[in-house]
Amino acid sequence: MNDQDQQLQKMLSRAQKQVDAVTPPFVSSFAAAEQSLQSASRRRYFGLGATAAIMAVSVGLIFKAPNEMAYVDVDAFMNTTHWVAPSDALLPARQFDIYHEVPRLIESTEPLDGALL
Amino acid sequence: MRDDDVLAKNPLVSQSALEAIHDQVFGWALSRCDYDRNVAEDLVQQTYVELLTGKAKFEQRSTLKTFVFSVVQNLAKSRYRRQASRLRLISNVKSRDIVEHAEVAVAAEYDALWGAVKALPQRQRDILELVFCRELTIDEASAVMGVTTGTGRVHYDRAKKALRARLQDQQDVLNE
Repeated sequence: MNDQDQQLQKMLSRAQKQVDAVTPPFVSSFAAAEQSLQSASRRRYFGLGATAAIMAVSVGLIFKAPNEMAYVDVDAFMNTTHWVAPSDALLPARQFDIYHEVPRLIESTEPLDGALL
Repeated sequence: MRDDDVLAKNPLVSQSALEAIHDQVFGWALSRCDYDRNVAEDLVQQTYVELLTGKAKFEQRSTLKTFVFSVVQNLAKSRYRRQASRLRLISNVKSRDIVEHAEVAVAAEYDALWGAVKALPQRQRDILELVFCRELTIDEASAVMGVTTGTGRVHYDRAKKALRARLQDQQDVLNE
């Protein structure tokens, strides 16, 4: 840097100092940075926690464990049912006599061509 | 460097080292935002956040001062890039106000010099500020500005010539 440059530098740095406002103390700037970092991380953790909770509930609902397979107790099952024969149900009253008129084959007594029918 | 002084996520940076360059960093941040003090404070705070989180990791490829200045420069650029589209009109008005405010802040004896500096193109202004006022080398200043050293030298030479020419013109006007 030659003499002219040094002179220019001196003038400029003096002018710059005039323009520069009073610097805030380092401690307050750094503390503010740390504080904003902490609140940001707190917000991030809160967001992560909320997201994790929602995801856990969703996963629980979607992948709910299926019921285990078990044999059916037939007796217990049958006790829960009432069975009525359809034929009985269709009849207004029990009528066994409907079978009484069963047709009977008639035995032939007359021969035909030397043989009984 | 004391162990309790070191940033957890930036082991090569200590609070005491940052404190030593704090004034310079704040001055650089001020000039990045047209001397708006509130914005400069935000910018410096955000720079410290970047260092604390390790998003901006210092690996001793340059001096700490150059590195921190680069972080401020990048944050200022990204901040204004985001705001540029929606606040173009407002920022134009605002920057005019701030320039007026800066003019008031300068002592009368520096009015002419400050006027000549402000008339320079942005990069020439930046390199003069970095080299003359923030005491960086041309290499370091170029790194902060994100240009090659060769380009930085060109800006530096042109800035000096332009500034001298403007000051000379002003002197001639005064003599007449």
